[in-house]
Amino acid sequence: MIGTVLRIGWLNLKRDRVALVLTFVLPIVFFSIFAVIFGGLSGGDSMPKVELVVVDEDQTDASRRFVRAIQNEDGFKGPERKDRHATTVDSAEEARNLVKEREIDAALVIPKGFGESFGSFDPNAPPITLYADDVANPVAHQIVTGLLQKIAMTATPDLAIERGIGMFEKYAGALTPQQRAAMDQFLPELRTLTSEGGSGESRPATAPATNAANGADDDGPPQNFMSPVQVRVENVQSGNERERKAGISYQAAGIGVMFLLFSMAGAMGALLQEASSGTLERVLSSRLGMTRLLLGNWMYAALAGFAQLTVMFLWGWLVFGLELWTTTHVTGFIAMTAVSAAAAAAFGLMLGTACRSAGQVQGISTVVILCMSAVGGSMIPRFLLKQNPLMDVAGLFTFNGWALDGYQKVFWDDKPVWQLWPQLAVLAAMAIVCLALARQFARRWEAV
Amino acid sequence: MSTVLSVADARKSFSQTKALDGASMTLNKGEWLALLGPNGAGKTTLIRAVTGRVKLDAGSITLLGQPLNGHSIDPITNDARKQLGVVPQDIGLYPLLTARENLRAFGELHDVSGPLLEQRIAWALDWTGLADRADTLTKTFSGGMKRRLNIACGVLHRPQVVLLDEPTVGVDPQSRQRIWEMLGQLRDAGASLLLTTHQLDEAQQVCDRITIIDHGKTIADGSLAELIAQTIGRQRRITLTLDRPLSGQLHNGLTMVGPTTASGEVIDVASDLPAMLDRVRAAGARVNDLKIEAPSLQAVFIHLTGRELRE
Repeated sequence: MIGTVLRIGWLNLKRDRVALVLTFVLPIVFFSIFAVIFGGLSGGDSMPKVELVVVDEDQTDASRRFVRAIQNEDGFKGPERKDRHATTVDSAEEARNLVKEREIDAALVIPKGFGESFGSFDPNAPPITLYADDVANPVAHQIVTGLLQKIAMTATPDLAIERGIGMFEKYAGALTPQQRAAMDQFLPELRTLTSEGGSGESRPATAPATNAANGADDDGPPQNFMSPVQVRVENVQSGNERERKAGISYQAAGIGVMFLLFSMAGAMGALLQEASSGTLERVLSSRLGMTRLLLGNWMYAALAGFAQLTVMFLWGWLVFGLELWTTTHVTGFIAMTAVSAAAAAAFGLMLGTACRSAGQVQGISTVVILCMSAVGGSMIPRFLLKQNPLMDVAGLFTFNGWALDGYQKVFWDDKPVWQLWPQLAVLAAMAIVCLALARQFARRWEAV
Repeated sequence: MSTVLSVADARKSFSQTKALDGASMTLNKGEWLALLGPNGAGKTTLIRAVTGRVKLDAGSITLLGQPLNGHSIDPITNDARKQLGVVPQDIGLYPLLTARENLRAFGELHDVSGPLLEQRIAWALDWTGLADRADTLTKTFSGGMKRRLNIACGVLHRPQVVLLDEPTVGVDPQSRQRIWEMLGQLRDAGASLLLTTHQLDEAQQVCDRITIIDHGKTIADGSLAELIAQTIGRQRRITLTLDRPLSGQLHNGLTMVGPTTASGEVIDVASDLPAMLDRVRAAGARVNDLKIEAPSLQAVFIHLTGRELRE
């Protein structure tokens, strides 16, 4: 008897293609997406590179060697696609703007006096300023800080040792003549070796990992005592609270858009239920007509979607303090939400008209929406996805990707509504294409 | 009697299957016509062609004097279709809407609005006996209640021609009776009704005329009496239950079909039946019971379409 139940279960699964896809294909697709994204972060050649520019305000031999070592570091790249390594710019202001405009992940400003104090382990030494955007890329400043310590120890070991010995003598007493003689002999050799060998990036980092992420906009003294270089992190966003609120808006948009797509697909599944129940036949026998029926359904779904996202953001404002009530945010939110809801409703309508049953809509929409959400940024932050060229391109084909980019511009970058035109245009185009396809698919319900 | 709907030589194929192969029919003003046929005969295709949901390959349809071919098949642009009411076999209602909300929705879809719509809704609720359930969700209704509401939604705009596809399928005898009464009231109000049904006994009772189609063709058309005369004849079957067995052939077509049961056919009951009873008595038996069966639509239907099962 149990065998009979097993056989019935297997036959049902075998003959339900959507269930088969959900059971076997969807997990593999998801696994692959996550493996591509996070597998690429595990290290090796595929480790994500931080887009970085450097400003050398010191212009000393030590600072130039340090900049050269940064440029030789494979963990960094420049803002342009052709830049395989970090590049230099002329001013701190320019560097900061590049980060703020999200042209790059981070920028380093090497201050005057850097060469004097380099390697001294002096907590009062002029710190390198690291501009980063913790919202756009929360891990960039940690990667840069870590790599800086490595570079400091491996690219200019002669300086680090020389200054370190100086600090040692200051606090622990002078070297003996024999020790001094040995050092005097060793340091030139080391200098020659490192200038020939470049940054020495192949050698393992020996410096202790330094947590320089000591708070955004912290203008106090650096806390990374006992580091060969002092780093002061400055978040180009206006502060921790703002960063937190921006994070909330990302979640609201990410989750909101994903569930918007699910809602729209569900709403259009009702169209198929009407078809199977005979209601659609009766409606089409009236004076309504297919085009007006589809437009009516689409408008209803778009309005429902607009309300759904509005409720989500209002909840974010009420409970989590999301910054909603500024002119820029409200106008941007309305524009993005209207177009996102219209596009998602059209997408749902297309699914509803393309599928043959409500069950098929549910199955296919689950697969498509989850994949779009994973690739488009609803599940994994966009900055991580953009590290992978494949995912970066794939995200351009998703509603989530364009919608999240738009919301990001509104709530993080404070961009006025007219600067949202690429996102609005693409989402509107997606809506038009989906509506046209839905109208075409719906012909099967018309007079035959 | 003027014709309100006519279909002439309708032809429609789906791939290799000929759904309609020259079917024709007419519906006259104020008439109640039964469109009969076995499963797959082409009834639904014919109805869908009239409602504009199927485009004919050939043939013509005329509704209230307007041809319904080519572009004029569109329900939106053809004014004659305003006068057409459709009651589908499926319960084409919105289950999460109340009875009143369903009526309002379908009324609006048929261009009825304002005070007139409210008036029609009140009429429909009373007509269907659902006034006390007007604000109840349709999904909670019994099969009979849904059927009645299904009909009301199709006629709220007071069409002159009403197409009903199996209007009484799956309901209990009480609801069925109520539905026939409702349809009778529609006819009394001047509507012409075309219905498909497999309830042949009921069709026989209520319909003025019957059209039978099979394999996409019209194979019979006329009143019940005409169909009987054209097919199985007007003979009545007489069945007698006797008080004792009789053997052998009795005279004049009366035959023993069981140990105590004799059967035969008569054309004129008044003149032929007394002679038949006299012969039984002469044979030494008494008649305990007597049954006279008129020719039925069921018999005509089987005669015309055969006993072979249809898929």
